[in-house]
Amino acid sequence: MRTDAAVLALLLLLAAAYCAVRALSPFTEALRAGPFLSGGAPAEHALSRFHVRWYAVTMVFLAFDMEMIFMYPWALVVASLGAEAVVEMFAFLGLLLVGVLYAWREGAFRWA
Amino acid sequence: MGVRARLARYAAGLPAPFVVAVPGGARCRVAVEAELRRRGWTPVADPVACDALLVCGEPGDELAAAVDAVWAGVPAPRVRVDLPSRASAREVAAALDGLVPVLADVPAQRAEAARTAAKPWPPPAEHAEHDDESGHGGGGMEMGGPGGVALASRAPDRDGLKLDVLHVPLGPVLAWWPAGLRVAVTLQGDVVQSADVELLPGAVAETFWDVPAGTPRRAAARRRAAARLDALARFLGAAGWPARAAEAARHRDDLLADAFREARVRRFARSVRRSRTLRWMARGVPPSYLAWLDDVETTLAELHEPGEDPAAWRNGERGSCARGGRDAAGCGERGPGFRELGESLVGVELGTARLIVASVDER
Amino acid sequence: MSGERTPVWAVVALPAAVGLLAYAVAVFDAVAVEGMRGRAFARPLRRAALLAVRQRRTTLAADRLLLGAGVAVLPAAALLAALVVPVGGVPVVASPVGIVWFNAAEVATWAAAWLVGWGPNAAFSLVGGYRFLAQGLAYELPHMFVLITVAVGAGSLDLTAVAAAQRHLWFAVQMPVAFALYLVSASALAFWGPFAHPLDGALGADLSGADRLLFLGGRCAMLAVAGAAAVPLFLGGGAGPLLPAPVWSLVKTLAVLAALVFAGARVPRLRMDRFLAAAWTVLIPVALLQLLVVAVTR
Repeated sequence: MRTDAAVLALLLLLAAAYCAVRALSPFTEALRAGPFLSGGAPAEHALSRFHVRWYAVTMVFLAFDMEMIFMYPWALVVASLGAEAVVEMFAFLGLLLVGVLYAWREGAFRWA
Repeated sequence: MGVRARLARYAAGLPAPFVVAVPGGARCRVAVEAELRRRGWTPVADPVACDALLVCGEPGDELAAAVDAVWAGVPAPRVRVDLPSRASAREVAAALDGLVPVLADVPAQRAEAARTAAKPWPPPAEHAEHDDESGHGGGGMEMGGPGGVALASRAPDRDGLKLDVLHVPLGPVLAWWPAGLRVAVTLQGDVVQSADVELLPGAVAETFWDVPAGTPRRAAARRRAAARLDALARFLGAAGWPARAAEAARHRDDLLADAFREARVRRFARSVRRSRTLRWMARGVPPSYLAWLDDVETTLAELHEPGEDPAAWRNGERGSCARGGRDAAGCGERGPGFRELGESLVGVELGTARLIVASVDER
Repeated sequence: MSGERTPVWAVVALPAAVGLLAYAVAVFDAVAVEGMRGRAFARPLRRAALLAVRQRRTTLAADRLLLGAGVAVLPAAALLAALVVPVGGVPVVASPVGIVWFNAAEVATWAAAWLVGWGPNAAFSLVGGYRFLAQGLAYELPHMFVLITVAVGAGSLDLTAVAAAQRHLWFAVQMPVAFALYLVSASALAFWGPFAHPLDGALGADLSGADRLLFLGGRCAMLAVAGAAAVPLFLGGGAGPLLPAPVWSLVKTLAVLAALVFAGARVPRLRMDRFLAAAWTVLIPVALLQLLVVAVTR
């Protein structure tokens, strides 16, 4: 089965299923309500700049993610290349782990 | 319409209730929860997902307004049941029996949905008072007209940065929440910057958990243990352990009905106490739950020994704290009362805030 | 190439199969959390019926486009991830880099959860969406390392080849740490059970009706597909005596899902503010150690 045909077919099936489920409801019009605030009225819009205190974590994640791109082909050839490939990759990973350790010591993983 | 009506009837066979706790309505709430468990109708965690809003007790004016605000946001099919504070088990059963036909009645539900749609959702009465940077505050998110609600303004946080602030009521209508408590919280991100605690009263005062002077010793002990188990159920629910919370509620009902098995209650208390994960998750929170477990165990012990002084359990002397066990470090330390709650909430994350509120020791 | 052998009806059967597995997850959940054995089979059906019948809901000034995108992406991600998972030896799309595809589809869950948090313009939802991002970041790295470990062990990124490489000994036995980490991170990426912390913050609470059914159903489906993928990755695929391969795959999948749901019900919710440091400083080194062991023994 060609990949793009399969993906398209799946997405179309999903859309059809959604339309079918919506058709099953006797209530056609959506309820216009306020956001759920456990009994209060909203004082302002919630769509705002959310202060993400763990943004340092995303930097560390990006570093690992870039390294992951190299690990996928590495996984295929490590058996044939032998110990040298293992040592190189783990040296790279070790450096990144030092970064994680540093972030930990600097309190980047503290939530608040 | 045949398929839809049949589907609606099938869905109405298992209502998804939400129980609103009202101050003064503890007797009603306990009866409702027991009846729901007997029928197998598990309550849902948020009112928008429920189709039956069960208000257990008569709320005061402000609390009634909050419940009405939540009710306005519940989509059809829906039914609301207001129960009196001193409802008996029979009244509760009758009220619950009447739920299913109302939910399955599609034409009536459609009429009600049309009536609700005719009243548009009202914008709030107050507009932004602290609108100092109204021109570009909040990042300028325009969603086709703010609809009468201001954009988020900015305020300095403890690092001196000016960040967006949200004013959120951790309001009276929330799952696993003390009855009638409203905490108006200002959030930056998901961390609480300040908290204003308010107790919204009900129409009658709360006397269900009180033990009047002339009560026989055994009944008094059972009621005290049930009160502690009720608080434990709320804590375990807020901690995200629904299986154990349901167990605590079941033991509470058994104790109130004098149909309990002591070995089971002790086993439950032991397993909750031993859970290291729970202790880890509750580390930023005053360990009231350990004190409550202790009270339950003490009270159970007291039920067996005639002639023992009932005052001894109140100081926790007979529990594992007195024995100097492993848990002695967390013992005797009760959570904040409602008055100190505001300060203890500053600087904590929302999930921790809910746990701290659930640890509030009202006595 | 099994591409030509896979008939067209498989593409239609795939959502049905995923749906059935999601239903199985819901049944296990009903038994584990609510403990009602008799009614556990009907409960998910009745609740799904309620969601289908229910009126939909829009909140004030909601970002409808993003919200709709978020609601649609979650089940779509589950279905796309299921495309490469072999059931009884043959996946719908045979891809030589099936593991990479599978991980990429799973990561789409992040987008879905954040969009659903952002869309309704509600404070609690917003908090839930951002919480999920933190959780996703923390668990994605061990998850990827575990997938790499499996790829190193089998010498291939193709799920069918990985299943075939376990003829002698299942990877669950050869690399048990990786198996445990996979189960944990799969639950965390589907924000299930002890990792449902984002739901505490009412992620998805402002949805109702068909939208909510799609969102929560997509979440069950994501967990189901991750459990189904655990079979070719760690449990030898459809291999087993007597019964045909698809039946064995199904049995093993149900066993994995039951284990996930029941073990998860015995633990309270793990809050990210407590768990973030542990997730990064413990899980990643452990995953890397396991990877080192496997790489060296190859």
